[in-house]
Amino acid sequence: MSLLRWCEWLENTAFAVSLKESAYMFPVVEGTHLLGMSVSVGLIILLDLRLLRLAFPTEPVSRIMRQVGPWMVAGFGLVFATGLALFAANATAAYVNWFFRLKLALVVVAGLNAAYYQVVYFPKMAQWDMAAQVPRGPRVVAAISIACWVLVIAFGRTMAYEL
Amino acid sequence: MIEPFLDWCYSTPVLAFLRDTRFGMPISQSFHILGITVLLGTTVAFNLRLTGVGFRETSLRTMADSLWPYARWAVAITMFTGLLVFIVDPRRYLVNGPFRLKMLLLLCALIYQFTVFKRTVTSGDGDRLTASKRWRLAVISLVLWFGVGWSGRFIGFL
Repeated sequence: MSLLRWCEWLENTAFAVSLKESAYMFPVVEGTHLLGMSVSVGLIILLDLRLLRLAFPTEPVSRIMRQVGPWMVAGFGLVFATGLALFAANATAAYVNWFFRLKLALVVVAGLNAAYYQVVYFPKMAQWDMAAQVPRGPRVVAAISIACWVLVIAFGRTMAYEL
Repeated sequence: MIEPFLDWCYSTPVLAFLRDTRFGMPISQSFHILGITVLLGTTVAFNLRLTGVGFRETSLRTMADSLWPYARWAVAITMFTGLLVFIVDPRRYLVNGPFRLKMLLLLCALIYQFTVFKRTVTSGDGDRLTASKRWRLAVISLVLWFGVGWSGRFIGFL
């Protein structure tokens, strides 16, 4: 089954049809997706800013990471779940939309980037945890993270104009 | 006086360009949402700390030193881009119920943010308040800012 066929199937499921046709549920899901971004993207940016020494210079990186972590994960869960529902409601139009494709690609890049941090830098964090200045590698990861999420937001907003 | 101004907004070339080109509004809206994400992100962080639900290991003062400047910039960017979106087609928004509610809540949120809330977080006094008072401060902040966001989300639907 081609991806487009799958999108057609998804769009015609009872769930997707009822969401698309609901006067209130659609804006509520969209609003949750948008405002949930402040808890997911908003908080991951705080951690990135610490790594870049642009926030909390006197706090250990691990302390900020630990405190941001559970909220950020919950936020991303909310954003992914509502994002999936929104996609289902407009699957075929979103699938052919280049801004949506770019957005999705950048979400994958951001995810791989975060995974790279966890695998490569997280085990070594104790070495520079207390230092205001973080080594170059984790700083690059933080910069990539911010760039990805800013563009994800921009492409996500732009795709809605082209649906 | 208001009518000629509204006509001017709609027809002046710079604003018409912004409104009618493919990316004028998407770019303005993208910065608007980016600003909202950062502003609400700092608001969530401050209020998690204020209530003691999260960020327990970092003092309110330390959080304010780092995050207040970002919150202020986010307010400025969000309001500037919001003004751009509004001014290219003011007639559409002025009669819109959710938009009016949004502006009312925004006014309350701004006054609250830059008086009571600012005093509480930047002075570090928040850490010495009773739990019920800290919760009250946080709930007002969250209801106002997320209320602004939610009513904004409904502008295009109602």
